[in-house]
Amino acid sequence: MKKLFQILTVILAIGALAQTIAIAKDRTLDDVAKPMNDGEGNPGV
Amino acid sequence: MKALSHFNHWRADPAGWVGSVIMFIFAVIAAFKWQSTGLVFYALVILRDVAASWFLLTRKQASQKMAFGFQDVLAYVSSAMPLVYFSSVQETPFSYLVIASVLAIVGFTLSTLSLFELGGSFGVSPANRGVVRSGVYRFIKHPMYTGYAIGELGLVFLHPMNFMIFILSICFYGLRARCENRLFYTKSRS
Repeated sequence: MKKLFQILTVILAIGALAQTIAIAKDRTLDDVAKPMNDGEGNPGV
Repeated sequence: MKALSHFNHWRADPAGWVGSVIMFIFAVIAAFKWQSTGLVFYALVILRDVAASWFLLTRKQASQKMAFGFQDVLAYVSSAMPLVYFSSVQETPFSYLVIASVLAIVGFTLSTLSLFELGGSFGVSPANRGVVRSGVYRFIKHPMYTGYAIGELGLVFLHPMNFMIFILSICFYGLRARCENRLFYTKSRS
């Protein structure tokens, strides 16, 4: 029983880490995709 | 009904009952946070808090315990320390938030694994319910404190003031570990 819960703990931890990395990747891609300005000096949205 | 027979009587272990209720409330709060944010980390928190709540209700009776004093106050204050940390400020860089999250997950995993290893020997204030030397305890003497320390190190990235709280918290964990070592190893050797 103890081992089962420890395995569940590790699975949840891997899931949480994977989710964190996915969020970080999405955010980084958004930042790259966001234009610095609209070409006329106005900041990007 | 059979599961209920495992519970300690509240008169025999009032601290265990109080701790169990507090941990269960934390689990409910984590459930709300999981529902609102969708972060898997909170599922891990729920698992840990429900397990801690169960172990506090069903734990073994202490064979050795010091009279209520400094070490008990220290244990409760130290346990509440994570609540004192400041949350992130608006200027906190996103990369710091990611580092804090990773450290929180790693630390929480280590402390949850050690909680399951301790099982019925788990307690907040130092008491001898049988020394555990299996699982993560084979590699680290105090894996639960180590896990908390790793998780709290992540909080240092969120706010400049958190560094001072972290240093204080580490001192508390060190003192708690010393108290436990004295109780577990000095007396068992004699």
